[in-house]
Amino acid sequence: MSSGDNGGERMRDPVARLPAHDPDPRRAARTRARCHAALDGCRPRAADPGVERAFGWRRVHVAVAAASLAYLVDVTLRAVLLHLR
Amino acid sequence: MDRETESALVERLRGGDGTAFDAVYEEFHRPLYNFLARLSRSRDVAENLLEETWLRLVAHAKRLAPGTRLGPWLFTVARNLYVSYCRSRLLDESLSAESIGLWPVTPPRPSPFEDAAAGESERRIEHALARLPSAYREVLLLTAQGFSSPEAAAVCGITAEAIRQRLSRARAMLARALAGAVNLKSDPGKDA
Repeated sequence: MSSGDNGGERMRDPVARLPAHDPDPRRAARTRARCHAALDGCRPRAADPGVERAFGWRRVHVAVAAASLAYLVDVTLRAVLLHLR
Repeated sequence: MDRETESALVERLRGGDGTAFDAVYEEFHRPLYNFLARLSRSRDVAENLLEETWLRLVAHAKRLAPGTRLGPWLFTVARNLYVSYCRSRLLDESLSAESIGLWPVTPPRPSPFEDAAAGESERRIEHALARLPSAYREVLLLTAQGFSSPEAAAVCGITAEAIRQRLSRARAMLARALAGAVNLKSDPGKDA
């Protein structure tokens, strides 16, 4: 907004003399909280974002590898037992 | 808010700084609400559009150009959201073809601020303002918020010359409406 170059004109303006009203404070607090949450979502991550992002994927990779290994061990044991019978 | 502070706030907003957002929010929340409420003549609509305006700021925070003027930016978004709301409402209500335009043609009804106005003079101004066409009302409201003609023109998407003409007409219409109200008040038997 301009820094008062039309200040005198505004004083004569009946609309400018109308009092300002407050929005609903509960709604305002909710809006502010939503904005903060959205802002947190787009904020750059801490110190080393690469490490932080990779950490989640690493856990997924470890879980998939463990499940695959367990499956392989299970299949191999079954094959050995079948062979021994 | 001076330009340096504003530039610093924009820079911090671009970095996702929550305290910068709070500072901008404190500065503009009330003026934006009053602008939207007087434009839409509905508290609920104003609250919804206001929330959407803030969410747009947050969504675009990282892409704000350095040196962005936050006031005109926010009021432009708020005004565009109101125009979109009017258009969607016109489609929803399937109004007749001749009434489809930029602004909705709605029967005048008391605005929330008109109802809440404490003094008689205040009530008359709210009443007269609420009955102006939206295109004129928005110019008066932006000027009352302290926007210069070029700034108000940027918000409305028209030239500065057009905004000056519109403002002049709007003031004349408001003055006529206020004078009419005073005449009716001073001579109640005139229209009997």
